Amino acid sequence: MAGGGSEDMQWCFSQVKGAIDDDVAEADIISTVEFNHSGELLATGDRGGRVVIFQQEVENKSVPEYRSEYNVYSTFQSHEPEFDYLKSLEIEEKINKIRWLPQKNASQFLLSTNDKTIKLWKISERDKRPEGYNLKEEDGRYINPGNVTSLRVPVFRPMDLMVEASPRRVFSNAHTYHINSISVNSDHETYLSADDLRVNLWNLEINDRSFNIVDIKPANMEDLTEIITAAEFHPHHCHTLVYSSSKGSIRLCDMRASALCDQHTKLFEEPEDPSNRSFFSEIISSISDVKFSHSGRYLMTRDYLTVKIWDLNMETRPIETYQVHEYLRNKMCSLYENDCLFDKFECCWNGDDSVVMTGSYNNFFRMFDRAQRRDATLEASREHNLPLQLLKPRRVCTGGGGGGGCSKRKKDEISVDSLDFNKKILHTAWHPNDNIIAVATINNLYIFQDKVSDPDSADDLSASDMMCTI
Amino acid sequence: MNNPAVMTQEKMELDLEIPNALVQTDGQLRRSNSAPMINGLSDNCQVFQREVLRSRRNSTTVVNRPNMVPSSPIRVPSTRLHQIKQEEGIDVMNRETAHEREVQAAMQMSQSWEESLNLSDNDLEKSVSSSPKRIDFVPVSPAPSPTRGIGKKQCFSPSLQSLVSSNGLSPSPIPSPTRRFSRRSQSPINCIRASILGPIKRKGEMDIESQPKRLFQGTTTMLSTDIAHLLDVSSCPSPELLDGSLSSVCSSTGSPGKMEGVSPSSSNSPFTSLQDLSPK
Repeated sequence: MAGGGSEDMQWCFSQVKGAIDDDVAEADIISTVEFNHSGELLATGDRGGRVVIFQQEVENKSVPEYRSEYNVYSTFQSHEPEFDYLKSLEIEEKINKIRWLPQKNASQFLLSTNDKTIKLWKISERDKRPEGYNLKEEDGRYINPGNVTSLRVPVFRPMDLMVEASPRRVFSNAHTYHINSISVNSDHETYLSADDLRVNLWNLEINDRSFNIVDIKPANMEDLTEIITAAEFHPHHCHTLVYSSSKGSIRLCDMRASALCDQHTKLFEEPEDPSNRSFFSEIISSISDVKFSHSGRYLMTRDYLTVKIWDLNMETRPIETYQVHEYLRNKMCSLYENDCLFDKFECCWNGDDSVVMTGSYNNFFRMFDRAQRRDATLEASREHNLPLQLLKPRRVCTGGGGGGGCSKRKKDEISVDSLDFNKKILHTAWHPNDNIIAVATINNLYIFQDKVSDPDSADDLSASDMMCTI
Repeated sequence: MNNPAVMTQEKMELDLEIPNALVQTDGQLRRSNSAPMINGLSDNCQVFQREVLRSRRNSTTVVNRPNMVPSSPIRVPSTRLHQIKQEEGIDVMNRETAHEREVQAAMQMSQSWEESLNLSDNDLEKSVSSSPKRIDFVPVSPAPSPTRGIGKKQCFSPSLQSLVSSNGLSPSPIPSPTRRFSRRSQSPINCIRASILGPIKRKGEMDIESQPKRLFQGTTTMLSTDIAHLLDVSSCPSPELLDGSLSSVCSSTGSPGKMEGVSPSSSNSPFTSLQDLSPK
């Protein structure tokens, strides 16, 4: 990972998007980040219901200082605030999830969802337009017919590239509760949407019907003990899906078994460690994100303190468990008070499933290299924004006693008590093929890339920031 | 004082703690949690309401509390699971009744609050005339147009880094005098509020830095004359939504009833420098 060895990945800053000032408008808070299947496009959604799509500029890869720049390609208002008249409640326009469809033609398609409605958007380019109308001026005003003396046929002429976003389908009125996940199936025809108690299956072409495939709502609501927190289709098997629960269990369902998948095919659950039991055990065991590996062999889950890797063939316990911020275990009372204990962090795999990443507080994010058994803590901060500046690994020290207890106050160490819990990284994404990552702080989007190692060029390191080896 | 007023007083004390009480704010509505807030369980419902309002919309469990007593003043773990259980627990009739009661109480509270602040001699007259004012916090808004959202293109030019009209032409340089200062409820929904991640012009390129902050109050449109017209020609569904549709694309966060200004950065023209227009 970020270390001294030449075989380790070193991450450097590439770009940051968003405003600098700290006064964040609620609408600008980023709520989802997603690369498309090629990695050329990066979509973000925010609480204001807007989607911004960045496109990677293809530069010359043979240049050592190759930087893949992402620039704004398209933006549109996906969802708007709505009002439920029956219940006198407002429906937020916040984009909960964006999922790209695999590209089939020149246009791009993505699904975006808020709490209640999923929309299929078509993103298409236009670089020609008709000019020379007989009856209209170029700006659209109609010519006085009396002034038309000749006939001419409009021709297509090139124009500045324009990116159109148009809603092709609106999938609404299928969820009583809040939609937390959408997932496109590998058959490219269907997708699922999951809310707190149900999972529905849709056909992308049909927006007035959906099948309910999972329903965990009990007949008597008093018996309700857990809710669905995330759901995803298997990347290759179109009949397999998983959903996670607020109690820390994951259920795998096979749609070939029955039409209703209330009975799971597999149940992934780890017995709780009795020594760690506390008042907050249930809360922190709630799974906030579940992601299949690209290979389809493994499953990653994120709960409050850990990232767990499960082998689909073994239900009894995860094969790997990574501590994200174990130092917070003693702080749970205050985290509960300031609601941070309920933060829902996401996690992601890299392209070859060798590294996983997730966010933390103080604008830190964590990477776990599964193969090399290393982990790193990096920071997304405005202070390290020189082009190609290397990210230094950060460390949180937890020593006892007053004053933070860090034995040696190095520049890159910070004590637990100094962490800023308002700066949280909930959404991260990894390019499907390259080592490019997108990390969303509250209202900024950071793009980092791994340093293309070139032993001859030492000028990438700024004089004041030398890499410190772990 | 008559009884409702006494009750109002008591309830008001509790309500002051509610961060987004229906009264004190400018009519901000509760967030959807898939069912109305139940408020009729007991007279102590206001306390419970506080907890429900504070609850997060997430999916963690609550430690099993078989007898959830809403009148408890201590904070209860109000998680999403708990929320759902409570909302589904009572039948529709009670829910509607409770909701109505809550709305009425809020209106009464609002009225009495205004009256107590009112220094006029003619209290009776004022109360009568002020009562219609507060009704709008439960807005009776038109349903979103069925044509809205389908087939309505939003076009963006990467080279210009701004929205353009669907026919690809630059907008005509005729500013719309009404758009500039239109209030939120009258603004057309074709105006997309600039995303913070959108293209940001460098300082110095903006020619509207001199615009005073107050211009942003309640406006949702552009500031500079040569880009205010952008809205006129950009693909916009229908002018009939000018009557204050809740689904205003221009709307920033918050309820439709909120008439106060959105934050300055949100009422910019799309993709102009957000930094310059920050409130600092």
